[in-house]
Amino acid sequence: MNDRKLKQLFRAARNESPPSPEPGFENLVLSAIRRELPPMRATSLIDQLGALFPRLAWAAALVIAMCLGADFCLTALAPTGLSDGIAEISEQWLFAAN
Amino acid sequence: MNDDAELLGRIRNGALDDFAKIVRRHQSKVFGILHRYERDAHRVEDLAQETFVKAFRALEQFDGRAPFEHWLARIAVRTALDHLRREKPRRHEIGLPELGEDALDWLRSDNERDDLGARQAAELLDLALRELSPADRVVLTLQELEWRSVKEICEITGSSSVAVRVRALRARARLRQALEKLTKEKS
Repeated sequence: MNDRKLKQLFRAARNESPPSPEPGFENLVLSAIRRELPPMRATSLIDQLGALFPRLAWAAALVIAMCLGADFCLTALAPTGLSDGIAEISEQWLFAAN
Repeated sequence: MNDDAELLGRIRNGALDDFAKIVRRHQSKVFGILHRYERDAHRVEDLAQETFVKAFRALEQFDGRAPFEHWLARIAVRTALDHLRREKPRRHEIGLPELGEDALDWLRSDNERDDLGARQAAELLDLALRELSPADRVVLTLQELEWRSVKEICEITGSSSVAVRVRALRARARLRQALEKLTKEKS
């Protein structure tokens, strides 16, 4: 095969039209990309607080309940109230210091 | 392509849906490149999808110095090269498809005839190019069908200009042999 015939072959082949993309081809590409993307992670402070909030709320509620329980027990066991007891302790401390 | 730069900026900031506009804008060009290496339309579509997914993954590496279209074309050619390397052992197992009578007549005739259709020429060329190594085929396709300069071929293939010139020369000689072999086989 001579060079001119080869060039003729290339020239003719160059004119061939490629297949057209199917309608919605871009959606196929986007779907493929979405399948590859890692799941989004919460990185901002707000997101992290949001994720932690249920635990913090439970911890705060537990501390409040323990304080109320302790106050209730002390009130029931001691002859005087909690405020009287504290006043007595502070007076004793002041006299001891003087 | 200032529009491309604007869209790419938005995509980098998380607007993934804008990538659909990029795909719509460049899909014909990508299909055209890939069709030079694969004649099956469904496979061309798969390869085009692979090209755009690769481009999306590598978007951070696009520095905007060259037009986006050129950068994307490079990815498409490399995708085609990978495809040819994967397919090379299988292609011989499949066997050669039948050529049309017009293409055979043209191939057998000694004188130069101008009556070869684009599709027949592309099929004939595809058959002969299968006899070449994937790298030889890519260089020859870029040079003869896409009319790329040696400099562009160097950028796409990552080879030196001397290597590209030598490979093109060798590929052309092999193609001629492959066409002559086809002529004898089909006679």
